[in-house]
Amino acid sequence: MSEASSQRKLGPLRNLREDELGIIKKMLSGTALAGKFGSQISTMQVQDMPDGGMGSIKFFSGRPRSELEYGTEIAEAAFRDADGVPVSLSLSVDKTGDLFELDVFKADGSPLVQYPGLDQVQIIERHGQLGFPPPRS
Amino acid sequence: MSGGQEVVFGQNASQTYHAFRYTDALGLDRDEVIDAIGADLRPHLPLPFPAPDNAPFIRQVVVNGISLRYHAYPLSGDW
Repeated sequence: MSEASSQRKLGPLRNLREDELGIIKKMLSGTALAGKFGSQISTMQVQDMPDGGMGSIKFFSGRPRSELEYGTEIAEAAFRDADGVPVSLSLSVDKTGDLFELDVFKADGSPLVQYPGLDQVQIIERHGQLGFPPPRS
Repeated sequence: MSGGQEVVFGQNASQTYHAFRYTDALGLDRDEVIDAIGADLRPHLPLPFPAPDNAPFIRQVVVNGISLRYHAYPLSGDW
């Protein structure tokens, strides 16, 4: 396998880990889609994305889906990793409304050390604003 | 972003691929994307460090008529 293709290869199908499941449920809880995915999320399968170990995962819907099927972000969250580096989480659906990706963006691109406790995960609400999120009231 | 708030798009091949996966799928030229984001972001530098609420700075640019949203993190307050 070439170096370039290995950078594009998704990992094998697997179940969500408990820490991922908890965070996704927390992210969904503030959305109108919580009911839609609440009962099925724990049985969904995912694949690790080749992001250098930051922890991004792609949901499997029975067939491969390309990036062109991305629909929209439905929830955003952030936390500080155990090494102190900020991490952004973006949960998205595809154009048909099925869960698509949990994109994990660690500020320095280094591998995720570990997910924190759920109380350390902050749901980010931007209210349509660009820039940094508005101060919480 | 890295020290000195130089704009970077991943620090190894996997990260760079991940950063550009959507624009690559759309057939956009990486250099055009980099130029558009750099031009849009530069007036906002230096970004405050640490990032408020650990969240990234988000903006939108248009490349070849396609609206793109990008996320940027400050890695230091150096300027």
